[in-house]
Amino acid sequence: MGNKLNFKKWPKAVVVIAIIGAVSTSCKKEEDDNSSTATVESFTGLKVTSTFDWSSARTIQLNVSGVEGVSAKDMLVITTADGTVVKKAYVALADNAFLDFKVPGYEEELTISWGTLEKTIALGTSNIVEFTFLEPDTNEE
Amino acid sequence: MRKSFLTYVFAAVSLSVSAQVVTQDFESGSRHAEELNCWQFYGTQINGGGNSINDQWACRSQQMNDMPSVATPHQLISPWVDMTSGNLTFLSRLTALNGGGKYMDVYLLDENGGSTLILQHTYTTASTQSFSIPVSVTGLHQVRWDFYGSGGNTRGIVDDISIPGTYASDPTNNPGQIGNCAAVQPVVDSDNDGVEDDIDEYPNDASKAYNNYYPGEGNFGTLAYEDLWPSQGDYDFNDLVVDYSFNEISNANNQIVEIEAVLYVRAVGGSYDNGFAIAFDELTSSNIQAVNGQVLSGNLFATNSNGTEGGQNIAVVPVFNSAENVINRVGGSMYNTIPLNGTGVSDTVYLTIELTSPVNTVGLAPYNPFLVKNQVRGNEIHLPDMAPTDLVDNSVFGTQDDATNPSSSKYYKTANNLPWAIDVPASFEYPIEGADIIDAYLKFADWAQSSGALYNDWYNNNSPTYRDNSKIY
Repeated sequence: MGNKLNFKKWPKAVVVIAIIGAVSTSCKKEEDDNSSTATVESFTGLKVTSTFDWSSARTIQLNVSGVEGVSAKDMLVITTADGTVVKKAYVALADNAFLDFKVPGYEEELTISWGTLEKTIALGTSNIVEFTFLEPDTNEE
Repeated sequence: MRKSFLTYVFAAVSLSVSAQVVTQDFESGSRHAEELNCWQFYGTQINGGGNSINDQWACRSQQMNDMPSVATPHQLISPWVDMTSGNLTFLSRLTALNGGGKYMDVYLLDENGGSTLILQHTYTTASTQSFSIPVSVTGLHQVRWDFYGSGGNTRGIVDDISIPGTYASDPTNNPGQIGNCAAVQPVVDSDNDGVEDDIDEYPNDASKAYNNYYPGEGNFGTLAYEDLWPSQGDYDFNDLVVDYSFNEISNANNQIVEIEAVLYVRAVGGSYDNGFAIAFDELTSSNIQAVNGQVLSGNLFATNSNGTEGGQNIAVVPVFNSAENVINRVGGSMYNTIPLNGTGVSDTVYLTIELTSPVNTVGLAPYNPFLVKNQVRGNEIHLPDMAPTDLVDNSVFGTQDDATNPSSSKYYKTANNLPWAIDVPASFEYPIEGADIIDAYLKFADWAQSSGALYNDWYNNNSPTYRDNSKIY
């Protein structure tokens, strides 16, 4: 039989402790993997990829699709979660607008307003964000 | 309501105005689009195919049953119209005529919440009927169609609406239910640039309309340099520390007419006498009318009459020849990097860059700023992967620790891809003299080595685990 484990011969408490230990070790390892990388002693010891962007800001390209017919103009205002205005443009809702701007790399959502209309969008991994104020039509009447 | 609202009605496709009428043929095919046009749908929808009257689309109600009274009708409500005397016209039919009575009432709604019945129609056929209702009222009104009845599965359809008057709803003011727009209010545009005064940040200057600040109004970002390039330094990133705030001023056409910059030297943690400039890779010198606010008392930069640097294919704006000219030392050779030496207060540089004519883009702030090392004009130190200017000394690239490779757009990085400068979109509390940045900012290494996936807020003071305050100035 070699080293094959036979749990039936172990006291139940030992098995439970062993399982808890294994699970917690597994969780800890996963947590560590998500929260740190290889330890380095100095800046010169850092291992970074050639494509790493050292900027702590992220460039967003927001493509705003216009709504046919609504050519009244107002200020389109883009704000971050803390209320910082990161971009403004004076546009008609009928206009397609392509806006480039930077936000801190940790921002996860943006709020876009035009007049009293307001929408919050999540920032995913892509730096190109498609947006329209027009909701898809449903069959409800 | 914005001044340019008047252009709105003429550009509309499904909603148009000519000869003082507001029309609606529902050919956008989208209820939500028409709601943004300030039409309201309650128990009604835009439907196509067999539900249209003319062309592809019309407005169709839910079934007109179980509502024998007018109490809860299905409704369509128009935008606000500044009405003139004329005829309200439209087409209507039913999908079928079955069950009990089927009715359509039409009302005029006023700004005070009042309503006036102008048509009470009992359907006697499902076929299309043309309606023309004389209207003698003037001023702001909406038109409301009510569909109701009992039994059966009949639905009411309306199409090709024409209302006498001019469009007077404000699509920018949609409080609550989308489509329930406010009526247009008087417009004040003092400089007649098309941007109403209440959103025009330059209401008395037609050449300017609004600001775009980076990194946000009242906020500062930081450029932090190591100045031993092409050799690696101690990576305390305090050899030159410059806070910045940029403002791109745009006109009503969203074109940039001027750039303002506020620059403040917070630290000089080295012995070199460095200059500082900003390259605008998207502009040439001819794009710039004038630069004001530079601190150029030496000979490091040879400038054109407009303040840009000569001999450059792109626009380069020198800011200061020497950091010494904008700092006020309080003691010691290091400026604001050794706490025991005291803290000096620098002169704030207010830079104004007037453009020759409006442009669509000037690039993204902080553009391409660079340090000129120790008064040697050819020795530029830029942010990583930012290209040097035409006046750089190319012979220095590839020497010592520099591994610049223009063919792969790799600039100002070591063979291990380490930079000589960083840009932080917040006022960065830089390390004290000689403190490696990874010892001061405890998540910096994780951020860099994870290619930014971890701790992209490394510079914030989120918790004690983020920084060692004893190593931060």
